Amino acid sequence: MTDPVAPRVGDRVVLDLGGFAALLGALAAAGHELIGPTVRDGAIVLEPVRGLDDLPRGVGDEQGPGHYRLRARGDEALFGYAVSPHAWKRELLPPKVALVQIRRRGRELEVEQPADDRRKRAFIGVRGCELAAIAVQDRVLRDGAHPDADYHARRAGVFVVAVHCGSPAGTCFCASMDTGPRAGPGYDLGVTELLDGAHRFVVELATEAGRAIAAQVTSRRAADEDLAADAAVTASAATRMGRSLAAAGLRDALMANLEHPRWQAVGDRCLGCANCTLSCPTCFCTNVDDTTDLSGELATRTRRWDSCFTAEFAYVHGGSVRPSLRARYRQWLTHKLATWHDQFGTSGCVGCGRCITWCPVGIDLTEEAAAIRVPAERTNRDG
Amino acid sequence: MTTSHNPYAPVAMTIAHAVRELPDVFTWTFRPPGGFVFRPGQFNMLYLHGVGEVPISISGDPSDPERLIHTIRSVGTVTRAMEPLGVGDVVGVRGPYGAAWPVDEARGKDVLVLAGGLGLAPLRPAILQVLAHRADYGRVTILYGARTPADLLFRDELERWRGRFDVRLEAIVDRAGRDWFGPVGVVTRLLDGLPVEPDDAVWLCGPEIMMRFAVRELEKRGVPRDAIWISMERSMKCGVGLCGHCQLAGSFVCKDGPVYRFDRIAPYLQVREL
Amino acid sequence: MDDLERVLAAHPFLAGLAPEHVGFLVGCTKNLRFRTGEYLMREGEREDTLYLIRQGMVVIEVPRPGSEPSCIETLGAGDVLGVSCLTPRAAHLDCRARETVIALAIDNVCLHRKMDADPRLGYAISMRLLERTYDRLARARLQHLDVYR
Repeated sequence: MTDPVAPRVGDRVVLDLGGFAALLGALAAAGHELIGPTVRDGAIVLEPVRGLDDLPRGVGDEQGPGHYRLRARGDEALFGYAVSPHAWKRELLPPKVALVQIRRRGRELEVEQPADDRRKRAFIGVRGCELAAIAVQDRVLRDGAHPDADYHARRAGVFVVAVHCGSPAGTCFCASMDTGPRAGPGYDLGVTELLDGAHRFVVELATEAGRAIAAQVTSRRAADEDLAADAAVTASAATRMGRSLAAAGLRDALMANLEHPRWQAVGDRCLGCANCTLSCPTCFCTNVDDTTDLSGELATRTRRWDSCFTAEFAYVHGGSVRPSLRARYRQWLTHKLATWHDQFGTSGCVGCGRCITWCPVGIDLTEEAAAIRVPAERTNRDG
Repeated sequence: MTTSHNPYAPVAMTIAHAVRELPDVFTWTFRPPGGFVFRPGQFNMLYLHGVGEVPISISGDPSDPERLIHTIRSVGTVTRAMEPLGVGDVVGVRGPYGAAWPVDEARGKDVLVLAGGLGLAPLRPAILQVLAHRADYGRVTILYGARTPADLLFRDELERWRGRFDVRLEAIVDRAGRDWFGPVGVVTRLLDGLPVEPDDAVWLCGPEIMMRFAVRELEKRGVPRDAIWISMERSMKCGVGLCGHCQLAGSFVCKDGPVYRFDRIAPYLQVREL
Repeated sequence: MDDLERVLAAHPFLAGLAPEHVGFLVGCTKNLRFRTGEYLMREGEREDTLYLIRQGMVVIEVPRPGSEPSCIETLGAGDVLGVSCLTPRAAHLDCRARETVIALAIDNVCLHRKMDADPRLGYAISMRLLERTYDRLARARLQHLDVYR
């Protein structure tokens, strides 16, 4: 007979700080490697964490175009920041992965595939924008005609502890992209941190796996006032977005303006440093490097992150297809905001703002998109 | 340990036959056990141990799956390293990938094939498939352009096709000495005086500039854009739509191409550096 | 209509030309036959004829010291040779019959007189020459790009 008091899938419970620590412990005990936010090198990064003490308690972030600083919040919030420079793609589509090894024996070739990485990982603190980004990458890398086997295996072992945002930053625009501040479906546990009054966490048991973990810690059912406070956190966050992007009709507007003079203006500012693509949670472009050991017998094919901002990214016999930065910036922006729709049925942008924060010259894609969608006026030049 | 199918893992194949076609072009034949089925216009990623991989169109006969044939031009790091290989050497193969020439859909129509330079290689399987079912097609015309008479690819086969009573084949070169008795000029000159109809099925393959030029000449003769098919080329790393390199606006050349109906790709070809 | 006039009217270069204009041109026109190896035009000689090729292949060549001439284009039935007839100058290329060539030869001096006398004829011929020149320029440029390299 089921315990009538035990929470079921779909219920929301409340944990205190100790309860949240126990939740992390339960995940670890169940064999999950915890990957979560922690402070290192002046930033909040996503790395293996051992428990509560590794989380960025009381730390917030200040983000603007080309600007990122951590600040002391003056409270005990665990998730009082917006987004890390890291995205969860570091775990699912790692910067460097050995795909296959080929051994030469005489004239024969033997193909050796590494075992799939089926480690269980728990992602702690996944934001709405990040969850949407994972879903976008699922479509690209897992749900197509030729799924990426490595991504597929890693993805299957992930347990998601999402956090509904309460502290948006200056470059956030998830509300415009319909990806936050409340995280959408796709998490196992959905958490809202409440700081008014007692420091507590409203936790939604979204899946059976989430319920099973939560059942191992003491909690109480969420009361009406907890639920109201929960809703208020994200409602407030939605009004404090740093930026906005008019997404409706953007695809067509950008593709109709491929020769807009603004492309040249942004191309002149862009350094081609590729920070935007490195920090973007949906960018998926990779390259394959071929190397051999010293004997020349064992060759390794390694997949590594690549960026459309490099000159040799797209070439034909004769040279680069996009020699100018103008063309490469245009490729990135039109892919992200326009042609992604043609390819995968969604926008490639989730409104996380990382590309704006981490651009050394502070290029703001919301500003560029707004400018380019308006057809340029034909000016008659005199003289 | 279970591994899911890794799209990046090549299959080892042994070169059964290697022949030099032109000073910088060679053809490999593999005889994979179990055969290799493909559609005309598709390509494989060919892997050279420790050096790298390149996309190469299959140039063999689709009705002969026991022989897998690739015609390769030695033009970059990997293909130059491939050139010295011969019978018995082993390379990796992944594929077949990509969209194919619409050979079945052209049944009942007059077919016009216009190839330039190495572009004849990706069209060869389509030509062979048409000739294998000759009665299903109307007029079959093959127009081929090369740089000089010495650069005519598959010359023996061109002469055999030309010799058939049910095929019209014309070849032209950009320049020649006195030992060439055929026409000299751009490949589209061969359209002059040819019966070209709006409902012909037209397949083009060659350097991009040549294909654009040919489309203009065909349009002047009333051929609509949705009757013309071209084969595009872009750098590829994975061949399966995962790495992003081959994108042409919203299209992945490795998946949506390399063979495209011209009207579907035309707007992208007009934009410089897209 | 006499035979020569009928043949002249049938050439693609004059397609659409008013019959009375074709009649004007007949007086300037001869039907010529070139044997294999004969030259229609030689580099350095004055271009005094506009040829409308009816049959056979004409090779356009550049002679080179120390090696055989390089053929850069061939012309055939329906083509026109000597498009620079409006601004008479010396030919810059050799044009040789590869096989028996039959062409309508229109004398340039006679042609100019007729074009001056009838501006409408002048306009019609000029437009046709311009179109042929444009096509040839486009082809020459494509050849120049050496796309098969």
